[in-house]
This record gives sequence, C-alpha cells and structure tokens, in this order.
Amino acid sequence: MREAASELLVERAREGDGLRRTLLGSSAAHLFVIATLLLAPADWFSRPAEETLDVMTLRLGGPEGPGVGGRTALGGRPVQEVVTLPEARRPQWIQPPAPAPPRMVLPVPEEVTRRRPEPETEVPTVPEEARGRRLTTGPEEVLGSTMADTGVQGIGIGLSGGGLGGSGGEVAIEDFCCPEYLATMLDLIRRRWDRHQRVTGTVIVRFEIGRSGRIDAVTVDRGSGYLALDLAAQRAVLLTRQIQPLPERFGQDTLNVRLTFEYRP
Amino acid sequence: MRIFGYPAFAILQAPGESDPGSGFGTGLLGLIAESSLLSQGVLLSLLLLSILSWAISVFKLWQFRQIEGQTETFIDVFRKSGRFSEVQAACKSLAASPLTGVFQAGYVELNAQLRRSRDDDGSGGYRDAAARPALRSLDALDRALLRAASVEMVRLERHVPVLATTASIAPFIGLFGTVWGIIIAFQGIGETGSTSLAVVAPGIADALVATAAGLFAAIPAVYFYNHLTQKTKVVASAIDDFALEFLNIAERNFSP
Repeated sequence: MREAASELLVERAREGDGLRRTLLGSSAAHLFVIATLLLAPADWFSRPAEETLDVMTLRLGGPEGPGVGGRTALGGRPVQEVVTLPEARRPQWIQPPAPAPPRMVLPVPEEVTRRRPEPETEVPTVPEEARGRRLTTGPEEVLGSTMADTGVQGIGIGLSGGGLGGSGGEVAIEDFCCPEYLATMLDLIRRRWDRHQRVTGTVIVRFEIGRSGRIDAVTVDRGSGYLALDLAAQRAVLLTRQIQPLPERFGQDTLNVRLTFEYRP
Repeated sequence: MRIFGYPAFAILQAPGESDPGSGFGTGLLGLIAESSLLSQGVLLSLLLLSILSWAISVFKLWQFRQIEGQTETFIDVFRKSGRFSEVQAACKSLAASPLTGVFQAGYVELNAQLRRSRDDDGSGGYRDAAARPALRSLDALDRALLRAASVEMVRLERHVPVLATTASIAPFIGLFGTVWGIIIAFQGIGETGSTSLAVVAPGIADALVATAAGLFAAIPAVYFYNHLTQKTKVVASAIDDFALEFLNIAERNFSP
C-alpha cells in the first residue's frame, strides 16, 4: 500500500544537491589562501616597520636650556653628590680639676671642720647650646639638583644630548649639520605656541621644511586625545609658516620634522 | 623579497644552503612545521572543518538564491493559471522551489481522490455533463501537503547543522591544540632551564596558532548558520502560506 504522493516525496528527498562541487571549490579556495600566505610578502601580515624617512624628532616643552656653554642641567633631575660638610663645632667639655691630694694638716677645732670649705676654683658646666645635639658623622649624601659638566655643546634650546629632562631628550641632531637653525626654528614655533592648557598631554606634529624655509604638510602625527591640544600645536606650526631657508650645508631639499609638544600642568 | 612562508621553503633546502640567520619560528608555517604531531592533527582537522563549512555555506547561499527566484516565478505562475495542470507543466522548470514539491504532492493527492470519485460512479465516466468529480477528504489533502512541507523543510535544512557543529567545536579543538602546545612548550622550557622570553615566546606562539585556526573556522560558520537559519524561516513561512492557499482553492473548487 502506498500513498499517492509518497513516490514523489521520496524522489524529492533523494535529489542530489550538488554539494560535491562546492566542496571542491572550497578546497581550492583554501589551498589558494594557504598559497597566498606562503607567497605573500612578510610585511602584509605584520606592522610595517617604522618609516625610515629621514625625519628629525624634536621636543618642545619644559624649561628652556642655557644659551651657550657646556654646562647643562643634568636632566633636571636630583643628583646624589657627596658634599663635604663644614666641620661641626664640637662642644668643649671642661674637665673639672682633679681634687688635690690630702695634705697633712693639723687638727682643727670642730666648729672649724664643719664649715664647708670654699672651692678654690669655680667649676664650669657644659654649655647650654651643646645639650641634646647629635654627633656628626662626617660627610653625607644629599639629594639636590646640580649642574654637572656633561661635555656637550648647548645650542640654547635645551636640545643637547644630555639636555633638559623632558624637553631635550629626543633630539636627533647628530645627523643635522646646523643645530643653530633648529634653535631658531624652535624659538619661532615656541613663540606661537599656547602651552597653557587646562589638560596635559603630548601632541606630535609632523611637517616639512622646504629649501626656502617654507613649512608645508603640517599634520598631527599623533594626537593627544584632546582637540584643543592638537589644534594649539598644529596652529603654532601653521602660524610660523616661514622660517629661514635651510642651511646650504644641509644637502637635502626638504627637512622632515616631528615635533613633540608637551603640555604640562 | 622576504615572503611570509619563507620558513616553509627553508625546509626544502639542504641544510648547507639555508640561511643561518633565519631559522624556523619566524613565520606561520615555520611554527606549524615545528609543532608536534598532535598539534598538526588539530590544525588539519580545523582545516577540514573550515573547508566543509565554507562549502556548505556557499552551496546553501546559492541554493537559497535559486529557491527565492524560482519561488517567486512559481507563485506568479500559480496565481495566473486557471488550471492545476498548467501549473504542473511549469513545475519541471521550477524544481528547485520547495513550493513545487508541495504543489506536486497536493496535486497528486487531489488527482487520486478525484479519480477514485470517478471510479465510484461505476460507469467509469460521468453520469451527466453537469456532474463533476468531488474531493473526498480535505484532511487527507492537508496531510499530503503537510508531508510534502516536511520533506521540503528537511531539504532546506540539510547540511546546515554542520555549520552549527563547526561553530561550536572548532574553537574548542583550537583551544585543545593550544593547551597541548603550551604543555609541550613548558616541558621544553623546563628542559632548557631558561625562562627568557626568547625561549618561552616561540612555544607560546606556536600553541596559539591552533586557537587562531579554530576561530578562523568558527567565525564564518557562526555567521552563515544564523544567516541561513533566518532564510530557512522565511521559506518555511512561504511553504505554510502556499499549503493553506492550495487547500482553500481545492476546497472551493472540488468540494462535493
């Protein structure tokens, strides 16, 4: 006994669905992906290396460095130094004189011996200012900001290698011929930079100085997260716009600069 | 140019020809080549699952696209035709649509009932010209449509559970490979006695490849499973709708 539609339903249920073709296609696609992984350049799958474009990195912010001379503040950080203390004035203990040896004396009447003998000399006591003072132990190490001879040539902007902490730390001027030029450039930018903001942060602005000294391609390389800080930094560079032409000793046509603006409270 | 699969090609080179500065471990295939047999088995099973799930996904997407197009055409033909026989003639070219299967089942059942109704006359023909064959049981027709709908639903949902299975187990398989790889890595670290990053990192990275492969297989499977399930529901609704429409027409035209 069979239902009228049974044959039809069984036939439809058994119909092939052509999955085999798509399986082959899927296998081929996976092989293709694996082959792509094998043959693709390695930098497709990893973060590209830091751009090796000749970019100078400067940092604004912090106190300005000394104008000339090799003595720069050593990072503005406290430095331990052995300081020779002045010799402390030690209190002079005054030793009372030893009692005189007894002498052979004639016996005196009782009323005479009862009388207290008068001291021959007055015995001085310990001076009041010497009481309770700690004994000194010689020279001590103290914390303090000091100037040390770093042996570097300052360029007046705190940009020397061992320069001001936080302000002159990241300067790659060893490849640049003319640090004076940078000093001028930074001075011009700093004048137009409104560093007094309500929040703190760091903005890196990137720009290009042409041979004629014109500043172009000003972009915020890394923002601080605050629009006001980013705009203030960008504005400082944009307003500067024109500086001295690049030094002739500098061989390239453009100088790429990454300038870090640090906003501190 | 340095390619991503460089370490794999380094395997094929003779030891003397290989670049001493670039050993295994600097690329994905290098990590796989260095991993244990079990880890490689895990990765192979994940690759097979990925192949299967992508094949099913692409096939079902293609199938649903065909179904949607042909269903629309079938509904159009069905509603414009005055006779079931005309619709039946169009069914051959619209076989992918599940409505075709439902219609054919209903049509066969309807024909069978009408033929029996004719046979019950005894004369083998109509007694008079005005008399027409009548539907004997609307419930039987309903059941036939229901059976056909059930068969069509099975066809629609075929292979889709494989996607759900892949989505569920692929991350676990990957995790298993990772755990196993980390066990092996720690054993190696224990043997070398060094805890430097250079010793620890390659083993961990090697182990994590399995988790990445598991997610690579599972994420598309999850997406396509949900997508296809939604499409199946839409087509199932269309099947129910059509079955009721067919029943109404049959009752209206063939009730005694």
